[in-house]
Amino acid sequence: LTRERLLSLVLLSGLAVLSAGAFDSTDRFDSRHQRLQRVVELDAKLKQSVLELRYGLHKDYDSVAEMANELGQISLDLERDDGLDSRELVGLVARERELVDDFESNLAILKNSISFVPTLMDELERSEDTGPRTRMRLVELERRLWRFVATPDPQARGSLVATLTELRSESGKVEPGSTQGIRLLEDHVATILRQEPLVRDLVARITSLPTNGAAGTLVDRSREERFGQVASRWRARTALVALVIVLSGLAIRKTIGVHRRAAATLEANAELERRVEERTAELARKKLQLRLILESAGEGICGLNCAGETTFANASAAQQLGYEPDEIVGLAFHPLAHARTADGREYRSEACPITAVMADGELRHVTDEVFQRKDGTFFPVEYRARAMHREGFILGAVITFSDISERKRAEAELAALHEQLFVAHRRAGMAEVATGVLHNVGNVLNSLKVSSSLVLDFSRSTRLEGLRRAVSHLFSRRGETTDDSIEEPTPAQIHEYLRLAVEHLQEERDALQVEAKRIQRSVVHIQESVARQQTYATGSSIRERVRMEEVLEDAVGMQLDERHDLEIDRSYESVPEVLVDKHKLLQILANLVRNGKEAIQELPPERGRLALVVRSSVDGSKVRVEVRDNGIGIAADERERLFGFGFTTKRNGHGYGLHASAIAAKEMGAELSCDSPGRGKGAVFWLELPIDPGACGAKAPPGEGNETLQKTPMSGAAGAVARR
Amino acid sequence: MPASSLDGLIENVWTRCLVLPVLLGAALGQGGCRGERRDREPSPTSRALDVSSCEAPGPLRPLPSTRAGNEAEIRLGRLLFHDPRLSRDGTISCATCHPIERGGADGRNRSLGIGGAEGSVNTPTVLNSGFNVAQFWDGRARSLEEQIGGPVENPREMGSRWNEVVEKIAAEKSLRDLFEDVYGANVTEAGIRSAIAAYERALVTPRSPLDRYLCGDNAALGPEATEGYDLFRSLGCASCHQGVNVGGNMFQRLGVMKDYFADRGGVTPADYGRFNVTGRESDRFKFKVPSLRNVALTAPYFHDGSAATLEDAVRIMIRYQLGREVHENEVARLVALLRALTGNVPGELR
Repeated sequence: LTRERLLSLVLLSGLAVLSAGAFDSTDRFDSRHQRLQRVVELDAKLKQSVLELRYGLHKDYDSVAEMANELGQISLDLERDDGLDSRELVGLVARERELVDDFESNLAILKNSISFVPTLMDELERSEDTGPRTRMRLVELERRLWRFVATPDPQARGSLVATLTELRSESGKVEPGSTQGIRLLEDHVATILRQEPLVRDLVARITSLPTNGAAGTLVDRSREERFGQVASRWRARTALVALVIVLSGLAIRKTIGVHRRAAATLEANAELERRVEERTAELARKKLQLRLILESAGEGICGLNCAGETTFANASAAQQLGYEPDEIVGLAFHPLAHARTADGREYRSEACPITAVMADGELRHVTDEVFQRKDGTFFPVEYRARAMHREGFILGAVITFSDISERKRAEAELAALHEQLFVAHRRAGMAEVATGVLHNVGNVLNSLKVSSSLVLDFSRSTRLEGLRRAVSHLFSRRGETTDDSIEEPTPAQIHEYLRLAVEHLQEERDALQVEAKRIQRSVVHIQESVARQQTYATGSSIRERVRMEEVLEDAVGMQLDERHDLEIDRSYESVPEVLVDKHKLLQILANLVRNGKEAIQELPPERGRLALVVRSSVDGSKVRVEVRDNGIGIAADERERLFGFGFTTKRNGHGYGLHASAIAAKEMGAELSCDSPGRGKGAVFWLELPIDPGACGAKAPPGEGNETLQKTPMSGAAGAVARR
Repeated sequence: MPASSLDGLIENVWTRCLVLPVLLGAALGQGGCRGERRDREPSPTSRALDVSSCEAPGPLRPLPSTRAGNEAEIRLGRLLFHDPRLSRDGTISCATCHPIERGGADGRNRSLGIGGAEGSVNTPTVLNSGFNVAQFWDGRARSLEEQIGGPVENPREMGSRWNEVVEKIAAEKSLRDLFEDVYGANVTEAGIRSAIAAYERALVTPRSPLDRYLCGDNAALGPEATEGYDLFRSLGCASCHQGVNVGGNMFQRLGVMKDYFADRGGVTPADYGRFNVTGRESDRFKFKVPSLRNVALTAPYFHDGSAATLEDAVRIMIRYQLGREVHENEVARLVALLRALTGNVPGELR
């Protein structure tokens, strides 16, 4: 029981007690008062009846008896039923009844005698034995008797007694015959005399009994008690009302509290349910999502247990392997799909990377293996095998794989395309070179044309004609006279003219010589250009002198951008420029840088290291470039296949880069190789280039034109400038 | 969460089942609190007082011709009155000593109880006993209900115990059903008392010649009885024998004018009369004045059954209460009057 409930119980019992007090005993008072009133009434009536009986106004005792009985009963009832202390009243009533009983019997005796005396007197008077004196006495006696009965005062009594005495002596002496009758009369008169005071006394005692007063006292007491009770009832009612109000308040508060709590609970429940629903829905959604993801993953996904048995296979996995999903589950994966290599040799389970995953928990990413379909055909596959861990134990592995036939094919196509592009590029390069050559040749031809025009102009505007006319004039004067109007030149004038003409002709000769030299030079230039063009046409590479570190930085710039927070250690020695096909060199170096970058991508970014080294070879005849990484490394057995077509250890590798690089290096007379301490321990790729590749192609002629030629294939912009 | 929800439930129940009805009850107040009382609880003092069927000036008054009381209760009382299971050995019923058809008294000097035991006083009649101021010769029972217990438990009469009586009566289904009908309750001592008393109050014998005479039928009394009636008043008999029951409403000494017991001799405690009840010397030899109704049927007379005939009784009365010698012509007239006091018990009550 909580204290609160205890309090409630106490309040409720208080309520019950107060209710009893508040609505109690009106009846008792009413009946008590009625009874007391009846007592007073009966008492008064009884006393009146007694008086009436006494004086003969009333003849029978029935009503008196009844009233006495009722009075007695009521007095007992008062004590018994009403809880009133009516002992005094009961005693008084009992006394009254006794007195009434006595009164009745005594009165009856009195009346008996009173009624009998006249009868007796009649008899005596009528009797023969009664003498006249006696008769007189009898009359006297009767008169006095009635007076006594009417007013029983001492005087009447005295005279009656005296008359009786006289009668007795008279009758005894004179008329003995009537003695018996007289004696009887005497007896009855004596009875009357005896009874009358008794009755009077009884009446006085009855009427003076304070029954009335006792009843009144009781009424007063009861009234007081009633007032008290009414007062206390009102107090109780007031308290009851207060208590009811308090209880109502409590109940209302309680109800409100309960409702509030219920509402809160409901709300909380609703909230909880809503959240549960949400979560359930979310869970279902996620589950569905997960299933959808698993099912709609393009990749095949298989779960294997420790024994290598398939515990799960999504639709894609089954479809790729040519099975129904149910068929796969429960079968060991390796014998199912991985038991043979592409060339049909047995692939032992111990060598299988998936098996290895189960052993060491390391991730395996394989791109150069094949899986076998149900129908026995193979497909190249890229897969990752990852261990499933729980609480530190390897429970199995998950293989995600995809058929990379398409990719392989695409890559092959890409490689072919690349090749074509390469060729096209070369051709484009050659065309560019040719254009440059032609451009240069065109320029030269322009100047040739100018020069030749100048020569032609010079020859056309020569002073030779003036000279010829001067000479002929000179000769005609001596033969004929041509024109009188023409002033004949003086010999001085002719002399001067001839000197001037010679001077002029000499100038013309000099100018022609200059133009001729220029033409000659242009022709030589053209000759050279044509010769170079002939060099391209032989298919040898376009070589130029380059600074190795510049090309390397270009390659880094091509492969890495600044966002790759990749630390690169650079160690560049001062090395001579090398004459190489810069394009190919760039291609190779870019490949190496990319390889290095990709090799460390599996590592956390802060741990990946890439080191670039440029230095002279030991004998000084070669420049050596090294690209070092601390990435996935290369196993010893893989090194042989490293530069083969299609080999890769990278997720996205297609096995073309190194292969192509190796070919390019070979064409440049360079050596490309690699070294690695093993899987996961990093690798170093290095390229050695001969500083003077004499054996390879003609030496570029030094000079201005040569420089122009070197720039041209390298930069479109430079080319454009040159063409302008 | 389960604990608190249980708590909430309890509080809910507390609020709804306890508080509200209490508040309602308080609000409805008195009306709701008081049940109806069982009606017709046996009421010991109810008496048929309606005697004013006609006016009569004299000390004698006629019996009422109608009777009050619950008829079902009266019928039950009649059965019980005649039921010998009220006695210990099942041999004696009320009617054994109070045969209704013979005036309500058995006519023996002393009645015989169980095992043939003899009573100490003469059996008074049960007829019109409801008009008596008290019951028994010494008036020790103020009511009929009270009186009934006397014979039942008196070892010389029925010698039984109330619990036995109730048990025996309750064993009979028809009586149980009647009790249920009349009182809505099981058989109880108070019920038995009440029922028998109701029956006894119904045993009224109206329309006697005197009653008719009192109501104005002058021819109802013969000449002798009419003279007897005059004598009855002039001699003073009516001083004690008056009222509706012609007696029965007061106590009076036997031998007012002459010592009856000295003449008779062999005084026993039973002769002390009312003294045995009150202990007052003034009550010695006082007896309830017997009713004179049906007195012709209830010989022998007086508490000691010493008068075998009405004439003897009248003579004793004249001798000891009036103190004079008997005049035989008076005796005859008085007896004629007394015979005119015989009425009829309604047939269905016999």
